[in-house]
Amino acid sequence: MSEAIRAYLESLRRELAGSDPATIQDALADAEDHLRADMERARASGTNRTDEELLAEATERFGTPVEVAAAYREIEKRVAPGITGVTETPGAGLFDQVFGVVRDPRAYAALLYMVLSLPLGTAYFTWTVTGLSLSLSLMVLIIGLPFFGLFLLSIQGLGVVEGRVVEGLLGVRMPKRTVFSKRHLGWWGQLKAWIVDGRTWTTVVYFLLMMVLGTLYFSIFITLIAISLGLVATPFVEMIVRFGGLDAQTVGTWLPGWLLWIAIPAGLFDLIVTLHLARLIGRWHGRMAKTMLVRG
Amino acid sequence: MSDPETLVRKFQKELNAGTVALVLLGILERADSPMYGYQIVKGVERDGEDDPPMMKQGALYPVLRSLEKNGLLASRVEPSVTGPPRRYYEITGSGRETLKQWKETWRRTRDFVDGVVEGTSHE
Repeated sequence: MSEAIRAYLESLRRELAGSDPATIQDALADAEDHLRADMERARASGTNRTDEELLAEATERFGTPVEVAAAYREIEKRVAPGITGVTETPGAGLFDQVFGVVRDPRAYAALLYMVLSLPLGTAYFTWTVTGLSLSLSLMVLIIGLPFFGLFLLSIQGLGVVEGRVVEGLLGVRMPKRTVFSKRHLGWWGQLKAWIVDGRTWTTVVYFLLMMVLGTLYFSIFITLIAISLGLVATPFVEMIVRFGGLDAQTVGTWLPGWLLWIAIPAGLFDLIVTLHLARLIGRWHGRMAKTMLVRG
Repeated sequence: MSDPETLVRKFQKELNAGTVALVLLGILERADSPMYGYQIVKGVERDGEDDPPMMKQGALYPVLRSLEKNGLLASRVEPSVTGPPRRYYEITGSGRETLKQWKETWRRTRDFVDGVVEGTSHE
């Protein structure tokens, strides 16, 4: 990136300080894309002006950092900030579609979610099952209902936590707060409201489901990552063993030489497939989480 | 009392706040394939290249974002190996529906304002 654009973006970032991080990121991306395109077009039409002069001219039309920041703040006031799910890349070249995933942060974030889903799913499941069964068995005692109420309250809280994780890693816009729609209800009214609210129960089902899904996601992706690393490492291990004087017979059987040349590309290919799969499942899971955790 | 030029700018700004979204939706409705920000912005300046722009182009991008957040536009980012990823916008079904109503509102507003200001009547 040219030094001039970098300076412009830096000053735009300063002007936007304090705004929603997503807005700042949007604004910087928009500005960079526009100014770069504008300058490239000017350069293509054959000019020998410096970057600074070109940028000054582009800024004349695009707006100074102060003006642009004001425009974003104006809109931000009217629209709730948040990450909007962005998806798919049709229309891109085949090369970009296949290999672009390597530089797509969403793919890595989704992969991280897949790996985290096992511990998270286990925790949600344990908490939900314990809470449900304790509520049920304590129901005969006087503390049964208050306990059940506390459990449902915890479900609301956990739902928001999972929502934050899903928004952060899968990029699906989720609520930032629990819903306390009617404050005057009192605890008994609140309890009844939660019980009749379908979202409470879809959240419970989601947490139970997360155990299964978490195990599945974790197994699939750890296996894929392990295969990929294994394939890439095989030739190196073989080299060390063969030329390092170790006896191959005692360590195990070995691949024929020609297969070794395929191992590394196959491992890298597997990595790319893994990233694509993570992004795909992440997108699907994000949609499901939104349906089950957020009131429609 | 502000000088006339400031007042003109202020008036233009207030008008833009309402009409820019209509213009952007209109451009994307006529587009036959998704467009990225720079294309759309250039589409706005097509008429009257030499006139001073009605508004700074940088102010169009946040409007695109807000139209998307309201579900009138859909966007996707296309990662590219050569440059920064590009965001492509496309009008949605609800966007077309909204635009139809906005056009009608715009036509009524324009006729009404013309009728009062110019003294012409469309009856």
